[in-house]
Amino acid sequence: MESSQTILYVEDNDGDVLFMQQAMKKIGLQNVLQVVSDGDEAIAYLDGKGKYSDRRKHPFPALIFLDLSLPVITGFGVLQWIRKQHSMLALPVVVLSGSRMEFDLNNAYRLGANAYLIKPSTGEDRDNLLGTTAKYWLSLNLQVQGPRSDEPQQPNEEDSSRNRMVPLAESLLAIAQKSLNLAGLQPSNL
Amino acid sequence: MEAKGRVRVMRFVLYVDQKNSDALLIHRAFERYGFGPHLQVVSSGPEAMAYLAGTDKYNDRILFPLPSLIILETNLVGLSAFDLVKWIRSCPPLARIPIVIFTAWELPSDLELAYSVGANSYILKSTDAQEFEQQVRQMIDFWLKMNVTVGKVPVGLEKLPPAPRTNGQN
Repeated sequence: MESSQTILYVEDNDGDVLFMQQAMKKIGLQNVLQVVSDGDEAIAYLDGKGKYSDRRKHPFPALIFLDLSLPVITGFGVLQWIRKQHSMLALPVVVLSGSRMEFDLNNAYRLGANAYLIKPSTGEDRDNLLGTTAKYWLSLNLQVQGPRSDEPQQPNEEDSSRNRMVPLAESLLAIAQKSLNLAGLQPSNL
Repeated sequence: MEAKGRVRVMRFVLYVDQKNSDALLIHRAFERYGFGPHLQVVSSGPEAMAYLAGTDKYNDRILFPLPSLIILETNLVGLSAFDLVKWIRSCPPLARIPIVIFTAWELPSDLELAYSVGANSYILKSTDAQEFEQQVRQMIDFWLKMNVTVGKVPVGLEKLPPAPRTNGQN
């Protein structure tokens, strides 16, 4: 069940990082938190490149908290990169931003954010928000196995998720047929 | 304290499930958590489309408001849940509504398919009634109380893309 509990927090503001550490400590997850402070580093971490090549020290995360205003590559850039990796299709990315702007919300969802949270101003709200969110994505939401460190990463394929659609639909159909057979029904029109 | 003086927007959930018993369970869970009036239930893909497009008996947005969250069972007749997600994602006024797949079926291929068509979250329905209720509460806590969605939804939904073809056989 608990395949991975690692949370990657992409945030350049030290104060916010401290708040996150406090909130995770309250739910006993302080040891699973990994922090990177810009978009470039976030991508290097996920890619397992450079100093992040050791997956025992830097495990592939089960959840990402992503700030939008980041140096070098912005949060949008990180999102875009993640959703181009087929192996990270099901990696939950929760945007944690100070912005309520329609433009930011719209873009975050369009680029594939799973959820969008506004950074709360008071401590109690903050702990509750971050704790509830972490528990939702780590234990309620079904996880898939992330890419393993010993596996070569797929190169960036354009629209790799779309290319996978056809074989997926086919295997789905095969499963449907099988269950119909099991139920003793004649698959007349499949 | 912080929320004082601020108007709380009533947020709705649309639940799509053909199984009556699960619809009842989810309704009870919402009721017991004080969110009964926030829940709308439909029992098929085409009905969900009619609701979201505001057509037929759903043409009153006061009675049938657009949801802030859509919860889908994958085991639907008429139109698959994945085609429904694809259709929602292709409608500009609906495209940013979060969608949670809440299903009794555990298929790894379903999970990938769900995310590839644009679902936000995938949860396995518990068969234990108490756990089921807890799952619903967690969904309410996260999606209705915390998550922020694109707020301004245009009222006129006339220009929605055509419905995907239903095969009716399933």
